Amino acid sequence: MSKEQFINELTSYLKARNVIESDIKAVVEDYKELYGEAQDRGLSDVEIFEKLGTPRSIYLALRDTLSIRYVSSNRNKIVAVSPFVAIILFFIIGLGFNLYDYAWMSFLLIPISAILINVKGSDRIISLTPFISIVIFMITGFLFDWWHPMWLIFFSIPISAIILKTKNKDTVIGLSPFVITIIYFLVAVLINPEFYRYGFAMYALIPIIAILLHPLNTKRITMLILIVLAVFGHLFAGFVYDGWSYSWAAYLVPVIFGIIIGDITFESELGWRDKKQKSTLLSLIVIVAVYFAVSYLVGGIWNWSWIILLLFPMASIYIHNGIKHPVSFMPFIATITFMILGTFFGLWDYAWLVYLSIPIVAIVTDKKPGITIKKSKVLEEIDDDSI
Amino acid sequence: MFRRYNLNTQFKKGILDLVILKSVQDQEMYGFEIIEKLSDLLSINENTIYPILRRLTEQKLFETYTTDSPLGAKRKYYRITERGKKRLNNYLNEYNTFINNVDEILNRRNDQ
Repeated sequence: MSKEQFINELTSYLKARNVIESDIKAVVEDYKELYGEAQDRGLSDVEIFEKLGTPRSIYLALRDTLSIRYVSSNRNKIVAVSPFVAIILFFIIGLGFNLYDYAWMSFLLIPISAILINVKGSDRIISLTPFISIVIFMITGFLFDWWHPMWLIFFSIPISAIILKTKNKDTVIGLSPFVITIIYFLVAVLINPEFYRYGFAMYALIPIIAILLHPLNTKRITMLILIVLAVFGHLFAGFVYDGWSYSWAAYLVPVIFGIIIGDITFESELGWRDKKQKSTLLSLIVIVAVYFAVSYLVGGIWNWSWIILLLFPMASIYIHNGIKHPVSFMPFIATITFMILGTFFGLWDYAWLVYLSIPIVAIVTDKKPGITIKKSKVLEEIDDDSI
Repeated sequence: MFRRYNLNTQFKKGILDLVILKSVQDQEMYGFEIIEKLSDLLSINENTIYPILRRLTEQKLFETYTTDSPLGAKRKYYRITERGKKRLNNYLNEYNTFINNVDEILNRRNDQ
C-alpha cells in the first residue's frame, strides 16, 4: 500500500464514521507527516503501515478525541415539525370535513416521517408496515365494514420481515404459516364458511413444506406419512361421520410420534433456529387467538378489538430490542389509548392529545444531541484539570 | 506508617501520558521520532502513541511547530506547554508516591 492509498483509506474510513471535516483534516495531515517522517527514516511502505496501524485501529484509538456528526440537522427538523403538521391536518380533516374517524390517522405521520428519514434499507419497509396496515385496516373498516378478515393485513408485518430478512428455504418455511392462515380465512369468509371446519387441514402443509425442503431420512418420511394419514383421518371422520368435533385428534398421532423420537429439535432444524423467531411466532399466535376469542365472545366489537393486534408489533419490538428505545412503542401505545378513550369514554375530541406523547417521549429519551457532537473525554479532562 | 494513596484508573492511564510528557520535556521531538523511541523502550504498539500525542495536544499540554526537514518532508515537532509541565509534575508526584508506597510494603515484608 502506498502513502496515497493509506491516506485515502484513512480519509474514507473517517468520513464513513461521520467524523467532522475539521477533525478529519487535522488527523489526515498528521498522518501524512508521520508517514513522511517514517519514509525519511528509510522505512518501507509495509513497515510504515505496520507501525501506523489500519484506518480502523486508528479510528478506534482516536475516537475519544474526535467529534462525530450523528445526524443531519435538516432531517431532524422535518421530524420535529411533523407533530405540528399532524395537528393541523387533524383539525382540517376533523373540523373542516367532520371526519374525526379518519382524522386521528394524521398523527401516524409522526412515526412515519421519523422512519422515512432515519431508517434505511429494508428496515424502513419493515418499520412502516404496522402503520400502513393500520391505515388500510381503518379505511377499509370504516368504508366497507371489512374489519374481518381485513385484520389479516397485520400479517404484512411478519411477512415483510421474513421476505426481507431471510433467504431461500427459511423464507418459504417462515412464510408458510401466514400464507396458509390468510388463504384459510379468505376462503372461509369470502367463499364458503364450511371451510372453517375442513380447511383446517391446510395447516398440515406447514410441517410438510418444512420436511420437503430438507434432506429426507427415515424419520422424516415416517413423519410425512403420519401427517398425510392424519389429514386423511381428520377429513374422513369429518365428512363421513360428521365428526368434526373430535376428528382433529388425528393430528395427535404425528405430534406424539415427534415427541417419542425426540424430535423436539426437529422444528428448530427446520427454520426456527432463532429463539427470537420462536418467541415472535408464539406471541403472534397468542395475540391473534386472544383477538379472536375476545371479538367472537363479546360480539359487535370488531371496530375496536383490532387494537389487540397492535400488541404484536409491540411484542416484536420488545423481543428484538427490549425497552432500549421507549419511543418505538409509543405510536402503538398512543393508538391503543386513543381508541380506549374514544370508544369507552366518548372522548374523541380530546383523545388525539395522546399522540403528542410520541414526540415528548422521543425528546425525553433521546440521548443524542440534535446535530453533532461527541467530543470527548478530552474536554472533560480539561474541565477537570485542577493543575 | 505510609501515606494513604488512591490508586485510580486515571493514574494507570496516566502512565503513558507521564512517559510521553517527560520525554518531550527532556527533548522536543517530531511525531515519528516519539513513536519510535517509546515503542522501542516500552515495547508498546506504535499506533497507540499518536492518539495520545493528539489528545495531549488537544488538552493544550503540548504545542506543535513545523520545521523543514533536510530530507524533504516537513516535520511537526511537539513542545511541552506550561500547563503540560504542571500536569507532568502532578503525574510525577503521584507516581513517586505510589512507587515509595510499593517499596515500603516490599521492604517491610523482606524485614519480617
